Amino acid sequence: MSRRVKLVLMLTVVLAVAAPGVSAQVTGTIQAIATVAASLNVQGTSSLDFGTVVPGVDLALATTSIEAGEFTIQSGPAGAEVQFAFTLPTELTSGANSLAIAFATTDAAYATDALRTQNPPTAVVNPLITTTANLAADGGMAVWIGGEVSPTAVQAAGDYSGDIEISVTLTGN
Amino acid sequence: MSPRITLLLVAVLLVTSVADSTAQDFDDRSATARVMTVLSVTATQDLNFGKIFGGVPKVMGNDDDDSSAVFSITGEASAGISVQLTLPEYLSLADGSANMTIVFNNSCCSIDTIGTATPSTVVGGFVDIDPRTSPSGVIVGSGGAANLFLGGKVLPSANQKAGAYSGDIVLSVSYNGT
Amino acid sequence: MIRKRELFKLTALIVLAAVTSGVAQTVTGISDLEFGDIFPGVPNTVSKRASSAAEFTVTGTAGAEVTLDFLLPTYVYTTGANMPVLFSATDCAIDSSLVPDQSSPSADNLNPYETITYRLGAGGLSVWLGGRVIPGLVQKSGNYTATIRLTVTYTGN
Repeated sequence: MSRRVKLVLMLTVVLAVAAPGVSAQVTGTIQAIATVAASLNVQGTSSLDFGTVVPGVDLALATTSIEAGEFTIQSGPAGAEVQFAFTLPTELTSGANSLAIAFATTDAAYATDALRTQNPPTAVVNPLITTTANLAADGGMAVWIGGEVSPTAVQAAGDYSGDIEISVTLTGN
Repeated sequence: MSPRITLLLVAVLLVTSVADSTAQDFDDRSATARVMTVLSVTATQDLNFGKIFGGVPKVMGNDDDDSSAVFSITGEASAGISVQLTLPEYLSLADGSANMTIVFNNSCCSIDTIGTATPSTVVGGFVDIDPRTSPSGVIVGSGGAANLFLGGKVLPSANQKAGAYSGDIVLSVSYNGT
Repeated sequence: MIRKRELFKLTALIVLAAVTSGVAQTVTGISDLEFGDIFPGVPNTVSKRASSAAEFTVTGTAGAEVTLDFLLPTYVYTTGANMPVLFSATDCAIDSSLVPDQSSPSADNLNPYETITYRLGAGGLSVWLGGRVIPGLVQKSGNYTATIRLTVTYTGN
């Protein structure tokens, strides 16, 4: 065994004891940092209002209609990607009576331009599936939904209503 | 004085003289040591998750040149070192009013033992290892440098309070004598 | 005349005896105390049993009593820096055997800061010395050295 090898072995033994000493350590500290953005604010700002319908006569409302349902998204991160999806009713009710309602694959639309232009919107989308889009530069978005009711010929008179829900989720992108 | 007395005195003087001249000796040797290069750790880059959103977990890899954590180590070329990370469980707002969970998985750390790599180019040393354990065999690179890169994942709650969160990540390094 | 010749013989014998008992003891440093490669912040100890311990040999009249005195450094030095070097009260060992045995010396755990009194063996003495260096966390790199002196003196006993 050479002298150098002996020295190295000896150091190993000694240091195994010495290493726990605080004087043998050097440290560096960095930070993990993250900024949590303000939560999204989503509101239903206008109902999908079919007005008066006639028994036996279907009535459809387009997303560009002033009576279309409208949701307003605010206070999101500028340009952040979101996913939104609807929970849609299949019927409206009035007491014990029901009125069929349906939504087509083009019955939703959104706008992210500064004026939230409804017609033409930024994009027409399918309300039956999840949509991925980006918020406007001001962190907002307007979403419209249309639909079609189909009263029967013997539809009972009354005020019919149902809930339409939208869920908006930031994707982190 | 008779001849007899004279001779005896000469003998005594000789004995004394010889004893004095040999009573003491000394020699010198040296105590020697070679001190190796001081070990240092520099916090080069924070682990930056950027902007995140409530309820949306975010992963930052260990290979992002702009956002992965980077520790720079310098020391004696090719010397063995022990590395130990102390990792936070939460990031907090500066005023302490809210916490956010941060986690580290078993492959979110890399150690560049060549000493010249960036997070995206590390190939030598220890790639995608568990930062919660101390790997053996880590050395300072032949150029006297090594780097440690770290990623992680934050888990904001759905109603996570908005604001800037932070937490300390501490790297302790020591020579292990190899 | 006969009487004078006898006196001359006697004188000659006395002188010869004096030279023999005063065979000059010598101290020779055999090896340095080598701490080898030291990492900043990591103290390092060299045992008196180690091959890297300092070693001196003393030669002289077998059976003669001698005192051993070390002059020990407080620091080892390099240009522009120093580093503490310490010696404990048990860092020295001596063997007076004809074949010195560092691993099992005849006198062990001696204090190098105190005068050590011992008798030379047939082969004189071998003296070993260990020590410890305490590098700082930011100890300047470099080659450090200092002198260790061993002085041996006949006591006349």
